[in-house]
Amino acid sequence: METLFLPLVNGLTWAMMVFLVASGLSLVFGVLKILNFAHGGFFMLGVYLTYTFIRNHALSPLKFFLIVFLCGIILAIIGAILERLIIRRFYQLDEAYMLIATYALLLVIEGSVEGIWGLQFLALPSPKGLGGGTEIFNTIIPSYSLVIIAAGVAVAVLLNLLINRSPAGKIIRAAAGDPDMTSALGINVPIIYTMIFAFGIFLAAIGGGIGAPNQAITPTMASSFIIQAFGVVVVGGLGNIGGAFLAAIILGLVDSFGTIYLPQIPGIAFYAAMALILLVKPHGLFESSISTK
Amino acid sequence: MFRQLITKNFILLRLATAAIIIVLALSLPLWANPGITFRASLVLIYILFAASFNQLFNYTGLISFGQAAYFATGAYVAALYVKSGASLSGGIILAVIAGGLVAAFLGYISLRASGIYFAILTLALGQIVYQVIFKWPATGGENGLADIPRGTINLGLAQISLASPVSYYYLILICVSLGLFILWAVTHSNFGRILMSIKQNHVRASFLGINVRLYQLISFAIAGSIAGLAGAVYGPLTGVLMPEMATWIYSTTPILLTLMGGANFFWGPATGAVIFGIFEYLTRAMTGMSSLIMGLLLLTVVLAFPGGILGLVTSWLIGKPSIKKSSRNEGSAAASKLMPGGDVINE
Amino acid sequence: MSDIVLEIRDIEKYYHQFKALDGVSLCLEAGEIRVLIGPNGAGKTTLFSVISGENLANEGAVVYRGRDITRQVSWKRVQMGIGRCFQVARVFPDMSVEESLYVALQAYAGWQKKVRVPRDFFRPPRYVLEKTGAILDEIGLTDKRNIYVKTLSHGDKKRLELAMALAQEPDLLLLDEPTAGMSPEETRDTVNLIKRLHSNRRFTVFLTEHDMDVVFSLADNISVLYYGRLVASGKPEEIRKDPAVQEVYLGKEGDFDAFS
Repeated sequence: METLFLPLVNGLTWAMMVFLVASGLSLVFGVLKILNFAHGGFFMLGVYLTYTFIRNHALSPLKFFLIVFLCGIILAIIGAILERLIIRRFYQLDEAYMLIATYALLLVIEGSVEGIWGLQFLALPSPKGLGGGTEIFNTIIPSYSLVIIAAGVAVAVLLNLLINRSPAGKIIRAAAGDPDMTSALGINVPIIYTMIFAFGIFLAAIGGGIGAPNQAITPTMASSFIIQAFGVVVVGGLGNIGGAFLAAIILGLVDSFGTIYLPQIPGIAFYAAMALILLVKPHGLFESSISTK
Repeated sequence: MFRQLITKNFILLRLATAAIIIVLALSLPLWANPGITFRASLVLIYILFAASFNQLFNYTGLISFGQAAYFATGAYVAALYVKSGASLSGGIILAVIAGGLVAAFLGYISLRASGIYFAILTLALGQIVYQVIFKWPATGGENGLADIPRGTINLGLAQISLASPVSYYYLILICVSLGLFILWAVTHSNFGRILMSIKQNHVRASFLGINVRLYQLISFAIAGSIAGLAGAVYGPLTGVLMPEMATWIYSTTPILLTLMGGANFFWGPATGAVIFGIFEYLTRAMTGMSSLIMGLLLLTVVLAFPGGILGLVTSWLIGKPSIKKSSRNEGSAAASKLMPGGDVINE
Repeated sequence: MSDIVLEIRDIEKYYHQFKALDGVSLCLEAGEIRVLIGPNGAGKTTLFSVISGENLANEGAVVYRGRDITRQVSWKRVQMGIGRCFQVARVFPDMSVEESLYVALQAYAGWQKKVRVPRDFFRPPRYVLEKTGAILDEIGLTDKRNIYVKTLSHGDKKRLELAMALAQEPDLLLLDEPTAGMSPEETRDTVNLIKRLHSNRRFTVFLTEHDMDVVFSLADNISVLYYGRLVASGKPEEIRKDPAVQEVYLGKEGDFDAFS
């Protein structure tokens, strides 16, 4: 029991970390039809910005999450401006050029982070009281893992409510399904796009902030997270947030247990599982998108 | 007046340019210092690497984010072979085969999907190659391979030593020219025309009885083996191989070079590699800024002049667009409004 | 009765909950021109997709020349002799007219094993070069031989698409709205072209059409599709008189164009 429980928690922690990135990625793709490499960059900016405010202080959980939220808002505003200035030009591009353009943006963010914060490893302390371990089923697990899992589940539930149950969700689904029709109905689609993009950035940034105490902070974390998030989003079906949630859990558990049973090749289980799933279902496990849900 | 003169003698101009480039490439080690010869060797390798990407991008309509995996496969296979004491010629042949086989295998999986899914799959599968190199003791794992000898080339009768930078430069020149010739032949052949048709409208192509996926797979394998060839000569040049060269981050180098030079031209990747090589040489004092500069460059190219350097030059020389850009999502007004390439410069 | 080229049995096709085809069965005889009519959304294009392999049927069978091709991939169906043109012409925008035909002929020569490597590596095989001229003459695009396809008019693109399909000597040709979006003159030319090609080559043609003048001037037989069901099939004069057709298709106004 104990031998299975810890990898289960580790797998779920990883899954929820990646889902925090993947949720915004999937939402933005579902509505704007942009697969955004730079999303990982904003996740990383969330981490670094939170780090800058907190440094090595162990804050109370309330203060900590307030700062994370604030960083999310700041980056969302930057994201909105960026969407207006640059991202908007991507919409008309050919698929391939669009991918390359967002990748270029990721490089710019990476380069900027290197320039501002340097190449060295940084670490952020956990909020007070959340740094230790908790005993469940005779197994000591890191308390902060539970925070991350809870955050992932909360984001999944709230996003589901927002998109499927709220009036705003109706507009989002309409804009995702048929932007021309939506705009003919008198809804300002470009503003919806800006808001969705900013909201996606917000999700990435708070994901980064929440996950920061659990990570080694380096400028390369953006690319390693974005590729895992891509994997999750693609396996879950592009634009399908619920699918991304399930895919994150599946791949997280495969990776976590794969590392235990095949210790000589850690890290390969994730990609192998992803390749295998996509070999059987080339367009992901759940093909439906936001608009058809 | 000057422009008219150029337009009239366009073929002559191209021949003259080609002649100058050939003379420069052949004579370079004779007048350049060893540092520049080394950089030129690297540029040659990047020319081939980028051209292998463009074989897929412009001539087949596939975007691969995993080209570095095949480059690394070739590099490691050749390096391990040479380190075992065998000649480099055998290593190069093995590298070409290995690059092609790995690409064929991973391409087969990726090609089950299309569009963005395909791109992400090439990326993820390339990462598997990286993970294998990184974890496998035989490849030196995370430490990579060092002290890779250049060895000799076995010509049956004579053994030629490649130890000197100059002789190694010429070996690279020969390999790169050969690789470029193969790519040129493929893209300009009847086979290449079918690939072009698939790029321009794959639905129509399959309704002309063309087995679209098979053609794409063959093209993918060819691009993989050419990337393997470029990788094969890379290891002995630098003497060191690191597993990171297989990651998707390195797969974007050929993308940048191709777009910068002009993806719609066969010589676009080469132009991009040369210009970037010179640019890198001039800014060699500035370190640590590379990803910022790469990103800004790439962004500028994609948004401001998607036709690349050759696109700008030809539109200036001829005064009209010579760039062709297919529209995969034909009929979509949004997509054709700002197709990278021709239509923008057209107006 | 002459021999059967295509037999469709009880085809059903769903898109999620929506039933696009509901038990469609029909037979095409060799050499006939069959026109499929029906209001927009009746499932005409879906039926063509099922026959040509772009979509697979959920239920039922497609039998071509005695062989079950229900689950066959599209490019193999083309190699078996089923050509298809689309409602909006699908062409190669950045090729010349001539090059487009090279591709069609080269693919054809490929599966007919007429290509020789390496002599035919860079230049189109001689067979291709000879045939290109003949097809262009036949279809009337000779003067546009070296023009880029994307600069062609809508009507010429459709003619080029037809030429590409013809180049492969189809046994059965599926034409989805061959005159859609054409001017009256272009429509007349296209009708004459199809008639001429059909009388020269004697292949079987299955086409959908909205323009009733075109329908009655081309059709040997007419089939009527109405919301996923085949409501009638027969000679043009029978269809004109069929009360069921008048009910569902002609509508109260008694005018064929009412729904088109």
